[in-house]
Amino acid sequence: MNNTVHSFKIKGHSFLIIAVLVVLVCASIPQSVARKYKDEGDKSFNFIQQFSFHHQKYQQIILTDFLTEPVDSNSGPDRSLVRFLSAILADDFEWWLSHWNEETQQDWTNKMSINKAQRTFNYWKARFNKKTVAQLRDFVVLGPRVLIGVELKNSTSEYYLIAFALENSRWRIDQPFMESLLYKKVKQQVVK
Amino acid sequence: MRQEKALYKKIILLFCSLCTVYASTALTAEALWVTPTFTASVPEKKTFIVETEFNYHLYTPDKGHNKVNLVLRKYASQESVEQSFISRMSAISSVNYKWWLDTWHSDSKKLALQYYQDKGLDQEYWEGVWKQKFVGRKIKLKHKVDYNGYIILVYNVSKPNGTESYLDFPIVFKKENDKWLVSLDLRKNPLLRYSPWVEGISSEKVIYE
Repeated sequence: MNNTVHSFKIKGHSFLIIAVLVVLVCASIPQSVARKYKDEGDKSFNFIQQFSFHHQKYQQIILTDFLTEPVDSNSGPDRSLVRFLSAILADDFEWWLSHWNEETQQDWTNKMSINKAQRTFNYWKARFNKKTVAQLRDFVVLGPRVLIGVELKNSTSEYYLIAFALENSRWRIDQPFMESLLYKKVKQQVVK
Repeated sequence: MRQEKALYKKIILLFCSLCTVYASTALTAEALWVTPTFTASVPEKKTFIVETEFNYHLYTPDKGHNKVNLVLRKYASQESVEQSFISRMSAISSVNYKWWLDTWHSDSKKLALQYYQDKGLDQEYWEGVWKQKFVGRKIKLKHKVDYNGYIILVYNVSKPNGTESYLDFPIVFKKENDKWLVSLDLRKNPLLRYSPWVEGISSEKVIYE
């Protein structure tokens, strides 16, 4: 009798073991069909871009004629810079904002919580006022963009290379481009 | 008389040199599509190089592990990249638009749907493309690329006769809430554009004029 009970217990264990094995096999199916790969190792790809640009130096151009209100026309990228500075002198935020391209404005809309646009406007107001001497330095044509170099002289002198691109037939400032590696490289070439 | 001749010669020489300077200025300026509106020097052409290195890890499926077996949606998963890839291919091959939408990473889905809407590429368009280019075709996985938090799977969809087609396609996956989903983040990335794993290249030079 004991033997019979013992035998039943073993059968019970066997059943349990088989059940567990079935579960394990089922669970391992995804692993068994998982792809096996040959590890080709770390690789690197070197992307080399050669750019050309045309550089012109402005000849002693001190900006004096600033506008007092917006003018909607395409008069060239350096005239857009004059209007950009005019908007700062006029303390006209909306006019100033209209000089930036859509992508920049969209980015600032996304950063509304940190008031990015207003803070940038304040930054420029702190650097350009009626007493500032603004001297045009460089005119650079790089593909579809024009970069204008301007020196703002207050108690100290600061140089800005502002990138413009045409958008809806108007020259707008391209802030995303001014954060790119390409912009940094071309700036190095212009100021050296 | 001699002095006059010498003076004439000087004037002619000066005129010629001025003409040369003017012509070279005009020719250079002519090449430019935009010019300054204030007085500036003659344009000078300059060249510079920008080098960018992309590091990635490459895997190639072993023989017998490159075939993509499609699944029904109820058996699909997005826990691993491979499962997500099978899910995506199964959605397309079974012409299941709703399922296909669910394989996108949320940011990329917004971007893609806006782009498709602008181009008039609606559900009917995609279903037509899938019926024509995917249904009944064999799909092979060619490479797996691990790059900067993204996994790029490179695959081939066979011709109607079952032989491999000429083009391999990359598809990018990114993890979101423990699911691997299709991403468009690398759409402008040169690594994807030049797919160096196809021909085993390690560099590419592009000259922009």
